Amino acid sequence: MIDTLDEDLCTGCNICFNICPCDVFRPLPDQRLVEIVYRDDCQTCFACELDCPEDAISVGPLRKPRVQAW
Amino acid sequence: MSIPRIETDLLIVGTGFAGLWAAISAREAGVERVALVDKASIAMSSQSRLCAGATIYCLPEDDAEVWLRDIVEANGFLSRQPLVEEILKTSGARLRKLEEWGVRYPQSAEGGYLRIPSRGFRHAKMMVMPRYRDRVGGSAVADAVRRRAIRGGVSRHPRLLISDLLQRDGRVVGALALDRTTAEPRLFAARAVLLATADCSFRGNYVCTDGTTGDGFQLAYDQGVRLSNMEFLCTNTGSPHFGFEGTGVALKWGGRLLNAQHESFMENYHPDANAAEIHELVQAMAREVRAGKGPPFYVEMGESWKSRIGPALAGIGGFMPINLAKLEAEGIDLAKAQEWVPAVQTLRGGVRIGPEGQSDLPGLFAAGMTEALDPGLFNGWSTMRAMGSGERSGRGAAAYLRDAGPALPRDDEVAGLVHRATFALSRSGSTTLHTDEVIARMHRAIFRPEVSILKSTEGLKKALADIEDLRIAALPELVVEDAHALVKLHETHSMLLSAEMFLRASLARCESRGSHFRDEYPETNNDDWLSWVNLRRSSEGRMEVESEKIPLDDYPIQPIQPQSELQSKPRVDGAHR
Repeated sequence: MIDTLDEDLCTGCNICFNICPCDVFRPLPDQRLVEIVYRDDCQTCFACELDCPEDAISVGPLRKPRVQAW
Repeated sequence: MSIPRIETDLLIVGTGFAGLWAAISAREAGVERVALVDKASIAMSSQSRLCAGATIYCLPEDDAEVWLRDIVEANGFLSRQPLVEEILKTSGARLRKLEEWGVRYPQSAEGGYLRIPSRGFRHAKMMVMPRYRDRVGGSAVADAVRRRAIRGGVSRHPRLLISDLLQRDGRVVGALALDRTTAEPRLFAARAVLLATADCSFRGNYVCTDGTTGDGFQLAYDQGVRLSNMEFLCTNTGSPHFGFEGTGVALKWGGRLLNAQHESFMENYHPDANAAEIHELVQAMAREVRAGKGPPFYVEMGESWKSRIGPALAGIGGFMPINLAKLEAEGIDLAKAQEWVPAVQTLRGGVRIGPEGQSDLPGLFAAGMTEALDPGLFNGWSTMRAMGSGERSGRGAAAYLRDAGPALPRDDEVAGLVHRATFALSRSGSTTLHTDEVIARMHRAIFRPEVSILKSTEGLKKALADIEDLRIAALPELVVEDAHALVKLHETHSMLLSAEMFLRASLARCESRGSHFRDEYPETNNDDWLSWVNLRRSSEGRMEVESEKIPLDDYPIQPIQPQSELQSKPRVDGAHR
């Protein structure tokens, strides 16, 4: 699941906001930042971390527990 | 209320491989205005971009007939054979195009392409690790195809969820969209619509499939068109704690599934043991549960993790390389036994299509995983299917558009649909029920061994009652505080409908075939069930089920072996021997 977004490194380019398949982010244009708003919807695909040009995002490998078949 | 309106000839919903290839071929076939719409970004958030990009290509030196038999047999003879054949035969040309656009596939040491067997097929081979610029995997191919589609001239509309299609005089004339940030409506007046929204994974335990929520299934169903193969839900396996793709490869290369007693058990169920097909693994796990030997289950990759499996998965592209690095940093050692569970991956049904990708409704087309082509899940085949079907359906839509009239959606209908699609936002509910809770209840209803693995009539009927209850009682009560939640509400609605289709189709098919296993009907019955199960919404709003005989006499490949040899089937008594 997404862990941190480093506000010192973030430039508000909105790449993560745009590419996130699960709509986890919201832009904060006035502050030239992006904010993690819907953290629980992260699917741990690492797309934001991989594509962040500033290396501002860190995604952890463990996911939120989900309902199992048993 | 005035709704912003976008006029186009062809609206393509979804921008993975299928939607992008459809855009390219429609433009090449002369369609003037092509609009791409996606609930996330255009071509940057799709399953295609997240996958490893392994793709089957049938080259001139391959025997297409033999490959076709391979694929048709592996799909239990439910394939739409002429369409599969066309995708196979045109795949070499698509490969050449991709190479012209800059995609590179690895070459073997002996020269020629590096091609590897695909699990489930005897002959058809796939190519892996495509590269484009600095990317490797599905994102490499997706980026190249995206670039090409955009250069061909298309309008792009990201972050819009299509909530409804619009019909007039018996044909499709557009779609209503909701902005994912603001919930503002947008009207597409489109002379044709092509659905390429992937499949439905029910936001379950499989990795990186949360975006596939059956959106296209619902859009098509609401218009009364037929869908097929909805009984085929592929349940894969995975870790309950982290994402992992490639269990199939791992189990073929020395990994083992273990039961609660840490005993290897697959050899009791299938001659291929741990290398058996995905559905055989999951069915065997469910039988171990019945025998009291699980849960929990484990996967242990042992020595081959470091020597073979890990290095291979770290190089394939997609999300796995970074995922593996992070797991290692977290101290998770895949050589050792890790808890493993069934993970619902994909509902393999889709819109029943004709030879040009057309649905029952004039002007409505489908492609990729949104169309019903065949019910199996095989490495490299989904990718090839997506690209080939997109190319074909884009061309089909172009042919339709040559004679199609203008798109004139009725304003009164649009206003009504906008109200319905956004009503939940203005509702002041007395409950605090959120979509996540409804999704969890849906999971508890269908992610059960007797519902999605070893299906029993009783289990399916109980699940159907639970799902209907969620749709009728829970969905209208949901609290929706913003546009993000509104989109999730629509996705949940689509998933519940997909679940109902899965359950009704599963009840209808009274035999076992591929991933569809019915406890009361454990045998494959070719005398009665070389048929598709079709579903549609009746004019009274009921879900109608019909079976349609497959026109095998007109198809190139027929079942020639005795019925008992058609498929390698699990020994149903395995757990009790």
